[in-house]
Amino acid sequence: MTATDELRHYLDAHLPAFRGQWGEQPEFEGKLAWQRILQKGRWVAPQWAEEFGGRGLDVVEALACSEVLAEYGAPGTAGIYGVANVGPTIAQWGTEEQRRHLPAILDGSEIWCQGFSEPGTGSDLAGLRTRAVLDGDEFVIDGQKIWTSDGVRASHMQLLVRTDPDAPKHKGISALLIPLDTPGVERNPIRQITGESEFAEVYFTGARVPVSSLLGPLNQGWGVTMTTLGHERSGVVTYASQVQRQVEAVVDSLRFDRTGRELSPLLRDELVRRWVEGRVVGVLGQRSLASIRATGQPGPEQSIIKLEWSQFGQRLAQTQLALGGLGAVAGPDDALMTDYLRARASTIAGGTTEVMKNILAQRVLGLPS
Amino acid sequence: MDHELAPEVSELRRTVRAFLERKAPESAVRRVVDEGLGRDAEVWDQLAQQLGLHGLLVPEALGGQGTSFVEMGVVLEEMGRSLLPGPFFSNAVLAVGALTASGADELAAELLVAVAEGRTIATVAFSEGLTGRPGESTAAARLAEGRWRLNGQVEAVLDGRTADVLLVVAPAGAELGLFAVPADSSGLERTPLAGLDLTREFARVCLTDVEARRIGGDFTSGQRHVLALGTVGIAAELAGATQKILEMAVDYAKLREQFGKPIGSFQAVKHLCADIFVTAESALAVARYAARVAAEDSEGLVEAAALAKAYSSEACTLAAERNIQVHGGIGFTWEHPAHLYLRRIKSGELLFGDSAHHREELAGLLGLTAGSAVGPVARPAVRAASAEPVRV
Repeated sequence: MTATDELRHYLDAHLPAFRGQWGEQPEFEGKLAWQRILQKGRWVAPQWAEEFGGRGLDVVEALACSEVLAEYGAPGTAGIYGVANVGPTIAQWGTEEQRRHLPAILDGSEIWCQGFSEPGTGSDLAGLRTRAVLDGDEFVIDGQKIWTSDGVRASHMQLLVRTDPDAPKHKGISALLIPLDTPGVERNPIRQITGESEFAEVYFTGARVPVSSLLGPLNQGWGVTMTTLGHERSGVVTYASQVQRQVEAVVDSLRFDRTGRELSPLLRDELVRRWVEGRVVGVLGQRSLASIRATGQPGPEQSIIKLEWSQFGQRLAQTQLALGGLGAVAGPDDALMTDYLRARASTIAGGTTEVMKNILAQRVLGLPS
Repeated sequence: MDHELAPEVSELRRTVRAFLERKAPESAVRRVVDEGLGRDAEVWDQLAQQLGLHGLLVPEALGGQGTSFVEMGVVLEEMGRSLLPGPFFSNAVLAVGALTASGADELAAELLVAVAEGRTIATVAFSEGLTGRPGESTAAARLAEGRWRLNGQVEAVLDGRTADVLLVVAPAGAELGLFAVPADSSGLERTPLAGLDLTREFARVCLTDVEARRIGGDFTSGQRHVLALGTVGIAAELAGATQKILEMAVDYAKLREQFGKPIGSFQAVKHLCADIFVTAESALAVARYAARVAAEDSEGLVEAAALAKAYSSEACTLAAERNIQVHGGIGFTWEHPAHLYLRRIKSGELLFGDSAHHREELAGLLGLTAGSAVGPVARPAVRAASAEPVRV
């Protein structure tokens, strides 16, 4: 039996009961419950090594599993940054002791966030100023992080700090793994334009962590971070098929709803534009998958997928709002309005569109910096 | 960039690129254009004899290569990239597509053999669809004393001037017929038209009581199929030309200096280049996807063709325009190839229907046209992409 067949059996056995209890689109607590169920079958990160709670699948098999999860409309997991980013980085750079976090990341007993952005360093991440000074066998941390996704509910953080203020900016950064209940760490939710709080600002005031918190070599945190960002890369294939599914679902929902008005030709054209854009991203994902199959790495199209995905999300939210008519600005259900507002973040978070185009022009096209 | 292609298809692409770089560089393209030759006869023969490209889609039993549209797609990418002038597309894609779609027939087989060998150049005069708009042709056929005769006018026929045989699609009673008209037929008049694209020729074709041989039966679905193949073929050309556009823009942005540094170091120019890159990769991905669907000969062909062209038509033209912007004044000169690409891409945008045409087509295929409706608060089961948490 192939891994995907096995996963299908697992989902058939567990998903209906879960839905009965938590519904179709569970919030964090439900996602955490689902992550525990999924991990009992070692399906949260099947590409991880078996010793850490995975199944040792290769990247193509793992992507096929993501497709199956998407096809079933399975809920997301709770600890997304730990599973997608921090975990693989620990697996690569971590000590024996640090790797003990890995099974906890998969079963949801540890929720991780990433302390990267600071008030003065958004796009210019390497300019970060939060400092960690070695005092005996402890680092003493002072500074502030902001826009930390999952920062309020996380139990742990992968934290970037400046450990050599005299070195060139990329060369004086280290990565630390810290529990967020460390004394001297304070967090506040940031209320965002949707009214929700998905991000936190995190303050460090003389917070002390053991020197064993250091992930990777001292002052080489930038390289360690690049690994972290690199782990998102094959995920773009999943993004791409998500986009395709989303736009197809939107079109389907409009096609079969017979209760209201007909689409005007202009709205219809706008909707078909979204469909075309969504399908193009899906096809780029297939192209990326071909690169991964051949080389283990996605090709340059992966940077396009992120760029297009973020802009597509905004346009789709706008189109859905336009299609919602009056109900989109005043109605019983404000989800479309919230989606529209939330979409403003997609061209800012994880690298603004402008910075991503710079990076693409320099790294992929070789234009001078 | 070729991981999605099978090794032998990649090899074909490399062979064709090397051949065209050697035999059809910009100087040779300009000579063909300036001298009004239509095609370089030597290159044309070599394409047939050395590379066997005219017969790529012709079955092996008829002297062709019997390969799929995937192979044809990469060949067309390279032809778009090199701006190769000549009737290759009309001949090897449209005419071969029409003849094979017409069903087995002695005349069709005979023509396919001749096309594969490079002896005959054929093209298709569509009853509609070359620009995606109705009313392009008034040609009609009638049967008199056991012979078919054609009358009327076809507004524009791709390579209508150079073709040895015109395959005219025309109403024949209640059906749509496919008719073979040799170029020397009496009553056939061909008037070359001025073209936006200097590397693509068109002619107006007038038919006055022209005797024609009918090929196969009703060609209604045949024409739809050939139009879809043509759409996929142009999407491949657009993708190939846009790859070249990207290289031109990036090379120039690295080389050209203003204010004491390369213009590619300015963010505004970087972003133009990045946008062209997005288009070039997307156009290639979607053209190859459509070519794969065409190769499977599946029902999804019309949708895949419309998807590819709905994207590429608009996006590739914008890329060609951006390329001129990156080049500044030099890009506005006759000597610079930027306009040759803009012309080729812009004409490709309109051929077989522009983006708006294909979106309309898709609206129909997706069930969004008349009859489908939207509720006052249409809440899809799946929310916008940005509903996923974002990482900062």
